[in-house]
Amino acid sequence: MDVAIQQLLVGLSLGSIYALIALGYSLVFSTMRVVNFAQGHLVMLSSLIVVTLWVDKGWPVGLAILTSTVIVAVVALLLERAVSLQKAAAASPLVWIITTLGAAIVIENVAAIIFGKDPKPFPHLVPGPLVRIGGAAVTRDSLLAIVVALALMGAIDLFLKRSIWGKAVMATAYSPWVPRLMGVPVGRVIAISFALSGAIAGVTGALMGPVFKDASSNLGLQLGLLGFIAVVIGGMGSTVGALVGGLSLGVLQTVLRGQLPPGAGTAAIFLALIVLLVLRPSGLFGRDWGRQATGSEGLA
Amino acid sequence: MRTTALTKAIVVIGIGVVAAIPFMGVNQFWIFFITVSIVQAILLASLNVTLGYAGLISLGHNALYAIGGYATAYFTVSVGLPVGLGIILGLAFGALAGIALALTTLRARAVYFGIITLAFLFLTFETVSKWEVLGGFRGFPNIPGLSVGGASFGRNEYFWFALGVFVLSMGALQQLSSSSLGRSFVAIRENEAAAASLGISPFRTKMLNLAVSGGLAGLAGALFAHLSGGIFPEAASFTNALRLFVAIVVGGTGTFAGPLVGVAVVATVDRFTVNWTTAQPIIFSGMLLGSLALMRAGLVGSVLMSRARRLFLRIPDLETGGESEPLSVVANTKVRNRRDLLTVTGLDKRFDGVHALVDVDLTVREGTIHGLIGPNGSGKTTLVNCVTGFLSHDGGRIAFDGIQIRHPRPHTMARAGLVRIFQHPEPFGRLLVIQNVLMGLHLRADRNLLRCMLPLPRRRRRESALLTQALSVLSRVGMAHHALSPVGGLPYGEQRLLEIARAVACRPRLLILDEPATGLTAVELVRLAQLLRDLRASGVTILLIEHNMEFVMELVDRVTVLERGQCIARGAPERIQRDPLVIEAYLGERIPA
Repeated sequence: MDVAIQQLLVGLSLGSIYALIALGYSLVFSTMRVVNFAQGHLVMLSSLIVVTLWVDKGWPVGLAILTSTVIVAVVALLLERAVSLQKAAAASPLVWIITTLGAAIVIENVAAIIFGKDPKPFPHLVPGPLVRIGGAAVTRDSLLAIVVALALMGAIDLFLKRSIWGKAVMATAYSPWVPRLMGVPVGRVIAISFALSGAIAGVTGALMGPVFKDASSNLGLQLGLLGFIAVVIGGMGSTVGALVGGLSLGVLQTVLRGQLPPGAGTAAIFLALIVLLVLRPSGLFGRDWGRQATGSEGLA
Repeated sequence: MRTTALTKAIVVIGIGVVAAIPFMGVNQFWIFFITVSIVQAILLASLNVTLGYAGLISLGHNALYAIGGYATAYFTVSVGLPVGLGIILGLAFGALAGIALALTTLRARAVYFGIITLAFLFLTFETVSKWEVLGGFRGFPNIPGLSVGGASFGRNEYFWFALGVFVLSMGALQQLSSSSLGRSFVAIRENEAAAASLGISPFRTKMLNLAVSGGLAGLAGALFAHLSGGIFPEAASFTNALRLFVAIVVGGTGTFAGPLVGVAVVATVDRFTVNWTTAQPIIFSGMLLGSLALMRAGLVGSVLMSRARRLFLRIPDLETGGESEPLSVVANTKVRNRRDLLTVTGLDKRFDGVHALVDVDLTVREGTIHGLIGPNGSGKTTLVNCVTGFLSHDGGRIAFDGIQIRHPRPHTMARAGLVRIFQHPEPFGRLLVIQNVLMGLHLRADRNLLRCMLPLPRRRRRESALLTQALSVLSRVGMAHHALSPVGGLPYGEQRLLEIARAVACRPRLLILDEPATGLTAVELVRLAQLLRDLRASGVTILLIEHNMEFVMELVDRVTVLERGQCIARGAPERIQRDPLVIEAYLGERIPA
């Protein structure tokens, strides 16, 4: 029983990271119909910036996180410009796939040049003894990750449903053309969704550090893929889906970690992704974007 | 093609010059380097088949390459099979892996397929780098080179061998691309629904495409393994996938020379930045993003260009098409006695809460024009979609030509002789008019993979016979003069006529037209009516959905009326026009006088 609670809590903290990455994917996908393959890399970038400013340069932790969030949001905006320009030029999904993948590789390698290739140990954000819940003991950072993730997702959900810009995002998610007719500046809405997903990645980077113990330039791909699996479980374009997908993936991964032979874990993730995409391409909560996205749009 | 002789001469001379490289005093390192590039060019051509021809987004094609390499490594080193057999097994394993990937396209489309291929790449990388049988992360060394009759191949001999394989496989691809199968790849890329409506099975086409392309990639991997004497997990790395993207984007998929140029550029950049490992991926990404941006300005011929010439369909040479004697486009069978061709009984269809079709009966007699009318939203198109297999139905029975069809699928219905035309034009939009009609002749063409890849003497004749047929169908709708026009530029009415021509080329027994008269000019309407009468006279049965009552009532032999998913009347047009229920459905209730 204690073990179960322990695993549940560890899984939930891991899962909140995935949920936040999934939310980042979801926001961008719903307004632009683009899977930002650099989402995990943005999170990785943020964790490196935070640890460098905070530990190496001695900045206050809050300021380090804020700075990192702003930087990553700006990087996301730049990426949005690139993707928008390419998308305007050609209808083929290949164009944005290549653009975001290329950006991911650039981010990874530029980060490796600036911050070095070696992993940087990430200290506790909230130091102090382990928190005991039932028979389980977890770090304060784990609880922080869960709480912040929940709060952030709640805030984003409120923003989407209550504020005028949030409603514009939802409208754009519904159709890229109709809101234009209603006077919604769709281009700006897309930029906002990108910047927002960048800011989320910025915060996620700080939360991820203590949960993963290290910040490293080669974590981007892994984070991105796990976040994407969370999206596939929960479904694209749904805040609740991102949350459920992320948390259940985190718990599942923690439970399975002990069961699989060492080394098979990563392969199992990729296999799971393939199987999931084949069985339920639209996720548990999502709309069937896959069908919509195909239409007659080929390699235009 | 007018330039065929010249092109052939250039190709032959080019191959000759390349084959003579070892005699030019080039040192062994460069021979090796060029051989590797040739192998990479085969891999890139394989990606071109999938990405370029069929428009399937494959992001991890080098996984298939690695699988081919590891297969031959395992079978030649661990099992002890001869190298030649190992290479063939490499090809076979590549093809099998391609088929496995194709299975996922049953559910996952477009971007999702891309992500699956990416996950497949990572899965392959993880497997080969963790599995000790395949050497784990250290890779698989000591793979034997090729030898014939005890004499083992040196670098020069292997170079010639690889060049030979390259030339043969490119020749086969060239043949394939101009065959009916090559056309079907393009058809599913341009418009899957339209392709299926003409009898082209999207799934089987993708399967075939990925088998061919997987085989080629596996072959390249096997060639590389025996060339370098080792195969390593890096073969399936994402960095290598990136290199492929760069090559295909820089070179462009449209032209035959594109992949070659791409490989040359990537190999050169690779060579000069080999000691600069961190910066190399940035340089490659930069090239990728840069050439994507530049292509917009049209500097590099590319994936994104939409000229017909670049879409892999040869522009047919109409002059060699022979005399286009008006070939009568008669249906598969003569009309014997007027029996029921299509019988729908008790059809039911629900969309969540909406009961779109309620217990609908429809009987279409052979040799007639049957009208299907009803107000907007009455379920006409849904009925057609269910009958042609574009939607699944929830209850009821569909029988075509007396045969019960439990699960209609678009392409099988087309094969059976039931061809539909969509409510909105669904042309293969970036192709020429004649190429569109050729797609309709898919079922009449040779679809044997082997024969499609070989330059058989019969082929020319068969292809020109197909062209003649296509032209005669076109002239039948009065569009022969537009044969070489791009479809995209045609006015709406002519696009509709073209779709009818395309469907007629399929030689349907039952042709279903969904509101063909919408948007036609008065002149075009007359042409359409005449065409439908002609078709009926030549034995084609027609089910006509239409709102233009004047048009329908003049043409049809019988009418079925749908309202709110229910069949409210059926019978001769004169009777239907007087039917109070029908009048009420269209105009509302009569105010009591």
